[in-house]
Amino acid sequence: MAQSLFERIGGEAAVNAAVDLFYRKVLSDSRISHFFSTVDMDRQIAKQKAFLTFAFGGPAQYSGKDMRTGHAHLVKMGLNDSHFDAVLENLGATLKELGVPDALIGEAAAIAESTRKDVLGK
Amino acid sequence: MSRIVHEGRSLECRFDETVLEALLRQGVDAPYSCRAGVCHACLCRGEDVSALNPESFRGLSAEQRADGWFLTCQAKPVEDLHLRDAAGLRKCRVLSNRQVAPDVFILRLEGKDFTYRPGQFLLLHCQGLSRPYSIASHPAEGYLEFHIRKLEGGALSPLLCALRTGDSVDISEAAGSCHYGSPHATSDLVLAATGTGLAPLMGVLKDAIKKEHPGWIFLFHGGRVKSDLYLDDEIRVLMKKHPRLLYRPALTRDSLPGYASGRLTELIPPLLKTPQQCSAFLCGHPDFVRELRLKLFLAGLPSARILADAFSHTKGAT
Ligand SMILES: Cc1cc2nc3c(=O)[nH]c(=O)nc-3n(C[C@H](O)[C@H](O)[C@H](O)COP(=O)(O)OP(=O)(O)OC[C@H]3O[C@@H](n4cnc5c(N)ncnc54)[C@H](O)[C@@H]3O)c2cc1C
Ligand code: HEM
Ligand code: FES
Repeated sequence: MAQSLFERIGGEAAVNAAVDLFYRKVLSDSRISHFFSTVDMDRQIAKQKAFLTFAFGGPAQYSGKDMRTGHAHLVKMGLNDSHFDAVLENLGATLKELGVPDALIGEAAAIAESTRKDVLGK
Repeated sequence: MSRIVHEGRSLECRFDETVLEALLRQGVDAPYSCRAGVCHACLCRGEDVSALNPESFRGLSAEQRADGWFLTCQAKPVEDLHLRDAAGLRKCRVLSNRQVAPDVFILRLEGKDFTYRPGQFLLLHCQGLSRPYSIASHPAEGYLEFHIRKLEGGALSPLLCALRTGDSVDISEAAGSCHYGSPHATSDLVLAATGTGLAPLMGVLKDAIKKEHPGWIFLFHGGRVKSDLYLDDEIRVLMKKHPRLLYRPALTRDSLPGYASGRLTELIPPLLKTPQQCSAFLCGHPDFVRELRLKLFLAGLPSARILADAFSHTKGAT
């Protein structure tokens, strides 16, 4: 059987390697950092891991409804397509920095993209 | 509804009720303070806590969670829950209580055979109140030392500061993940505290020295005026004995030769030449901890190597 994206990208080790890089980019990105400033860091690191595991096609399963309710308070704060694009951009830049091949980056981006409507509450 | 088994009694926990609410409603004298998941006064151990809601573990380490610790004020069990008997409380005699600054006391308790890792905290119980306090001693010293800041109008800290030799207080088991361990052995240590946040860092420092930490140890203590740096002299003596220990005191309201002036959150980040190779321990005021943690992380310190204890407290705590 073909290996899943999660296995090909490097599994949990890849998530652990990516999480600091990704979270640092998000916190330094003035377009979106304000969405992340309220929660304490331990919790944020855990959530970023959940996000990356999901984007890497990993075992974390979230329904569209989970995505909706999980981001509803952010939509109230004005979360829109431009913020979503910024997150995708930071995800791509993180994976590039880690030397992940473009084809795999494309697959991860597509998984994240598939949640756009739910995350933005459309 | 689910059931809570506590000291042989089976209690009921209603839908949407926290474990703490259920215990109190049924007459258990359970400890608590903020009821908001920040102070850890309600820390409790269960047999199997894997089914509890994630809020039950706010601010706890993976190790603590694996050991069954959780916060009763946050936990809303959907399955039956067995609480471990509070092996916790034990009575300790006060050995000494010494005033070292206008608002700081160093309290020493008898502590032979008490198991803890330097830098952890425990709950001090006195006259029906309990709050978390960090342990400043090392197990090799034989006694337990605490640095208590007397908060005017506070419920518990003035009582603790008034304790005298021969009095006794109850203590819980030790908890917390702010301690020196193998991941830190290969890095330079950044220990940074405001106020009595110095207490756990003294524990970490003594442990690192005992384990012959091979890298540099930078100890930063921040206060408003010089009297806030209540261990200034002792630390200078330690520094003479340990050439790899560098002490950097800082004052915000005074300028004196030998003391940096300004806030540690501004002073520390530019001083770190190779942040990727550091481990940091940050303790004290929650705003200080939050701000410095963020800055160190953005400067390149790995998130897993920044350990912190915020001395949280909540308005209206009882
Ligand atoms: C993990 C942990 C470790 C801790 N270790 C230590 C320690 O080693 N030494 C130590 O002195 N304290 C430590 N604390 C803080 C300690 O637990 C108490 O919160 C503190 O002593 C105040 O208790 P109190 O009963 O005197 O005041 P409370 O009666 O709880 O507070 C009275 C009022 O003062 C406010 N308040 C409380 N603390 C402060 C503050 N620092 N500055 C301004 N306002 C405040 C509260 O909001 C409240 O309205 C630690 C806290 C935590 C979470
Ligand atoms: C790209 C698609 C996205 C996916 C797949 C995704 C996925 C997730 C997941 C799995 C969680 C953790 C849920 C939990 O464990 O509670 C989460 C939380 C979060 N997400 Fe997203 N997310 C996406 C986009 C975004 C965007 C665009 C933003 C803001 C710019 C954002 C901000 C947050 C925040 C702030 C949290 C923490 C919420 C809280 O607890 O306060 N997410 N996300
Ligand atoms: S953390 Fe539960 S009472 Fe404060």
